[in-house]
Amino acid sequence: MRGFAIFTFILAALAVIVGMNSFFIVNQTEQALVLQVGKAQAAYNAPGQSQAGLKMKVPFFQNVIKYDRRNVGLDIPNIDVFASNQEQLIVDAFVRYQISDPLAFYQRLGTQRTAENQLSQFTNSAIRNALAKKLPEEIISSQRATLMDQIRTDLSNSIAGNGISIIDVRIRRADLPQDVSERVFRRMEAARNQEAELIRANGDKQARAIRAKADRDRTVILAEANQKSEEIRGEGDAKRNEIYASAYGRDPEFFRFQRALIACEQSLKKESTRLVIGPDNLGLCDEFIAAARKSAN
Amino acid sequence: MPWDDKTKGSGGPWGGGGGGGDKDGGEGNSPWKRPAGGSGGDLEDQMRRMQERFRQRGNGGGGGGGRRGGGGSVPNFGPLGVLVLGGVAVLAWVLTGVVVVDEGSRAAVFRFGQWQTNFTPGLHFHLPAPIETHVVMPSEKQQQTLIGNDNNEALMLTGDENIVDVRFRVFWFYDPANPENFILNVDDGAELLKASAESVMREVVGKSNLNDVITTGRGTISAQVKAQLQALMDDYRAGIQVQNVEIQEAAAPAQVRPAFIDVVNAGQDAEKTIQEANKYANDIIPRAEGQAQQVQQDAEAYREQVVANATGEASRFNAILDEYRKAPQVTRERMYLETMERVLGNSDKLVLDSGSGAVPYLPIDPVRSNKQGN
Repeated sequence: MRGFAIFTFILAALAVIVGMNSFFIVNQTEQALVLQVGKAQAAYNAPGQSQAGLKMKVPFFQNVIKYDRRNVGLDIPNIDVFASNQEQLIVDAFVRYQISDPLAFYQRLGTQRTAENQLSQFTNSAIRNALAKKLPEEIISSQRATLMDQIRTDLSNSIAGNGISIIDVRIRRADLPQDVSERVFRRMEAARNQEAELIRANGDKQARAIRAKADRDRTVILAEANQKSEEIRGEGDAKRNEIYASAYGRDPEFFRFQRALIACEQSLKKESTRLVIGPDNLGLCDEFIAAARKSAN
Repeated sequence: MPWDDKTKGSGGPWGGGGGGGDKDGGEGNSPWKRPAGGSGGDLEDQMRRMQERFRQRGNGGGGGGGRRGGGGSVPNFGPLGVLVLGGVAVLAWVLTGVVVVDEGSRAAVFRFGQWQTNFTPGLHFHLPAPIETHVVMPSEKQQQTLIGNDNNEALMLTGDENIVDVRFRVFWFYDPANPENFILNVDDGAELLKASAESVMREVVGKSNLNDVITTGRGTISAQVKAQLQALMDDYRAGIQVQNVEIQEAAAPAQVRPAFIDVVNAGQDAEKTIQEANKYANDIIPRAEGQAQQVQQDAEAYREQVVANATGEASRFNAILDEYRKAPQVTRERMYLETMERVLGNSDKLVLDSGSGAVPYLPIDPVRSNKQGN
């Protein structure tokens, strides 16, 4: 009874082990290579095929190697690149690749880690080759897309035959080193300071213009007012003279007499005027009248 | 492990069964406890203990079921116990095929690793594991990725070789048409999106001028980044739909920000200077105009005044002349005398006879005081 139980148990365990070894699951995100004592027998679910699922193999004599089937990203460590004008740039890039041929991949590279080391090195040199011929502004702006294409082609060529297809190489960053950045900052600062000065000076210019215009306007307004005022006064004087002339012209002799009297009275009008006169000169205003007569003659 | 338990008592799962089963007559001890204490550690004893352990393990389910059976012997409950255990196991197995999908998610179902379908929200079943498995994807939920957390990410070069500080957020979804692509085609979709977004943003900013980036160009830049990023994601068949690229900050780097702020301040200063000048102009011109009005009014007043005076005097003269003409000599005399009367009548007089020879002494003070009084 006990012996039988042990036997059954061992048998069941063996069956499980053999069964587990006869089947394997290939996920849709994976591809599998079946090796029979070292020799490749089959590849399942390589890119372009749709063979995921439950697979069978000969237990113990065949083993399965699985690789990622997806579009995999590989970050390339920062690379110091000298552009064609010897200016330094720090380039951070990433590669998107896919294992396209599991057998070739297994033969040439073996593991994904080896592959990534090699990809990293190839990308590094592809980037250096492409960027060394270019100016920094071409790398940063005008030719960035072209350069990325060029790097991808270059990398595809160097990795060809290793069972890897390069989907994309993208420059994530192309930055200036720290000390160059500082120089750029100083330059930006200087440019801004200039701009600020210009803005302030322009403001001052406009303000001065406004003030000067205002001063001018004021002077002109006052001058014109004075001009007009003099004209009006002159007009008044002219009219007065005309009125006088037309009135007095009727009898100039009498006008002189009458006006002399008024002048005499006006001159001596003040109540407290003290007169020191001789008895012969009591006809005081004769002198005015005489003067008036004289001017008439 | 229960069978390694050397402590007394019925703490182990089979301790209760053992106590109830009582095959070795122990008092509540684990069944394999007693032999270890009872006999020496020779090889035969060890063998026997191992066999017992196997038997106990085989009847373990029965032991569990034995609670219902009370103190009956183990073999009697073997088949039923195995059945119940088997049933529970099968049920547990089948239950691995039950999927509850929350609203906002989809569950990708795989048969032996091969994608089959996506379950929509609700209760679903699939064949139990490992035949079919599922992965829940938050595919309807808005995801966001922030780029620009540190200076390395945020500082980028512009086309005019300046450095700008750009922090932005990408809002994205799993592609509603093929959300499973996100897990099937790329290794780390979120990281891919982040790296790609950064790369695209730097490319776009690299083609723009600093002033555009920090002022008016934001909208254009985020639209361009969105379009290029979506194209890239489609290219990778990453199962990502970019909803929006929102530039949160696009400004001068902190190192030079004071200089940029000074430019803004300069604009305000200039504005202020101009305002002050305008204020000055607004102050003096109306005053000058007022003054001009005053001068003009004065002049007009003068004109009116002199004309009126002249007219008055002329009228008076005319009136007197009319009188005079009627009797010239008499009027003349009368006018003369009346005037003299008024003049001499009003004033202080000192009449000196010039022939007297006396030297008149004229006190200066009154004269002076009169002058002052004038």
